Amino acid sequence: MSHLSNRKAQSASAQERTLADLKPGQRARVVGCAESNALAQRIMQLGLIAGAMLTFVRAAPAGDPIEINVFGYSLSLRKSEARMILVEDVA
Amino acid sequence: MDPLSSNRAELKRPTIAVVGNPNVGKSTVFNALTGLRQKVANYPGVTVERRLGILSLDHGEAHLVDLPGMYSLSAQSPDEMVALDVLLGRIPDLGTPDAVLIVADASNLRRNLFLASQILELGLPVLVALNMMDVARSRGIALSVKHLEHELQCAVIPVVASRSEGIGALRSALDRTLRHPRAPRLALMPAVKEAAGTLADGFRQLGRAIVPHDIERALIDEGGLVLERLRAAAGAEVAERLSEARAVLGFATESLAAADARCRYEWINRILAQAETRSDRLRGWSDRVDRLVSHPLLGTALFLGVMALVFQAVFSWATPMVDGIDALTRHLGEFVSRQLPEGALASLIVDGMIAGVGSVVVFLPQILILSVFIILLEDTGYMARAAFLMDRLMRFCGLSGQSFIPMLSSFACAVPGIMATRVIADPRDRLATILAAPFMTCSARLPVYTLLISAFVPDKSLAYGLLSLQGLVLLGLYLIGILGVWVLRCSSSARF
Repeated sequence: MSHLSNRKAQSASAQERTLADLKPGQRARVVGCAESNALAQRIMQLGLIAGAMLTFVRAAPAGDPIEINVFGYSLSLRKSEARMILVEDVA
Repeated sequence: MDPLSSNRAELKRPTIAVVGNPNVGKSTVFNALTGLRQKVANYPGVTVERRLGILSLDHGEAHLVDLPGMYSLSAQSPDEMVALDVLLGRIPDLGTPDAVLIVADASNLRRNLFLASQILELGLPVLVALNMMDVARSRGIALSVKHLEHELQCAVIPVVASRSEGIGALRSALDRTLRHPRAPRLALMPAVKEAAGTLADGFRQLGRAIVPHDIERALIDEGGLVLERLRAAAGAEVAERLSEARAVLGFATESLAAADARCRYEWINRILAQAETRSDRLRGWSDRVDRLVSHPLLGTALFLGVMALVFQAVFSWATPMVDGIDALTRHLGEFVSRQLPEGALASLIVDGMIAGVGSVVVFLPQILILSVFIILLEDTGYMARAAFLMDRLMRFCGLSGQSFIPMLSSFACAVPGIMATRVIADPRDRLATILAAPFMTCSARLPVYTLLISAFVPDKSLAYGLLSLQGLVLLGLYLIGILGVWVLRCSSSARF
């Protein structure tokens, strides 16, 4: 699956940021998904597609799970799930 | 053929399938339409609940089938697989639905339209009930129904099901749709549809009849149940052809699943850019409450307070009622045994029926109190915040944040605690919680523990009279129960 290995090579070299790296209040744009499994598909179907704008709202006391705001609604994700979403910062 | 024609010889009611995201008020709409004329059963072979109701319309009656709430038709769980089967007419006693009613949350239309986009492509007559219009209005969201109807190519009826507003209009729309069925023409991924059609023809020549829609799902979905089912039924060669087709269709930089999701949201965004306007006021106080509730210190303190209240309520507020029921059972038993002569009949009634029913009914106060709290917590949205705070801790024991309240309640009594697991959506999480709940030492064991401890543990005190040995042993017994859950999780770590 060429696109997968492409993606993996990219994330190894270019220090790509994931959703899990954001801080409260930061805005970001989704670049893509690092994985290609059922969970990733579910997350994309909830709106985290390439190009979507989101805001990192807060993290639970232990840093996990996290809450984001995308398309005007709140979504909670576990940190392990958030690590799958590649993002780029937006001013 | 007009499905509502009153041809007495073939009085077969048309079927309407009701779909929608979880928590959009689908059940409320269903109840508003059917009233008490409904029954609950299971789909054959799976533990998925089916609700069937009868709906009275102007020109006849129709069957209403409530499908499980879901975010998309990607069949990744038994619930979604069953929904797909119903929509494709594969459930024997239901047949193909004559229409599909999509219940959508007007305050969350973007996410809700994802499922709608998939339903609209099925080639069945569709209509949309736009529920929770009051919530949308209070959040400053305005929607153009006309525009939505034009883009979705079906009737869109705004309703507020909890206040029965718009239900009459919904009924008329359902009546019209059944009498003049028209399926929307929508194909958001034409390349996939084409490929599926070609593959279906190819398979037919091999003697395998596979529905094109199944092929589409098998191509798009990652780890979907449709592919598994096809592989099991039709063999490895079919699966190979599908992977080949997938590789050909796959775009260079994203998987087919990602392309599908992106395509649909682009379509949705185009529609909502015209049909929806938001004014971001009025989220004010809800956001402020949220900030307090999810605050690491204050939120946790509030959470502990709420949990202490619930625990206290189930533990001690029920006591007078429990004692009352106990006393009632005893008095009733004594009264009856005084009236009847001694013997098998008296024993059957007193020791069997009265005592038996009594020992079940005695749990009722605790169940009622816990249920009231859970309804309150769920309706105010606090349940979701509590699960958010507790998730990390609970996952340490192999459970999820939503298990916290059932587990906590089990310290008081495991019966309402286990009943409270209804709120847990994931069936595996629910089962894990049900199995773990009895490990939490319930209040009924206290008399037994107290007795054993006072019999076998010396009445010594440690730390200069601050800690009593007996008290420590009691605490230890509680902790062993909790430890048991962790051990259970470790030993079955393969599953988690």
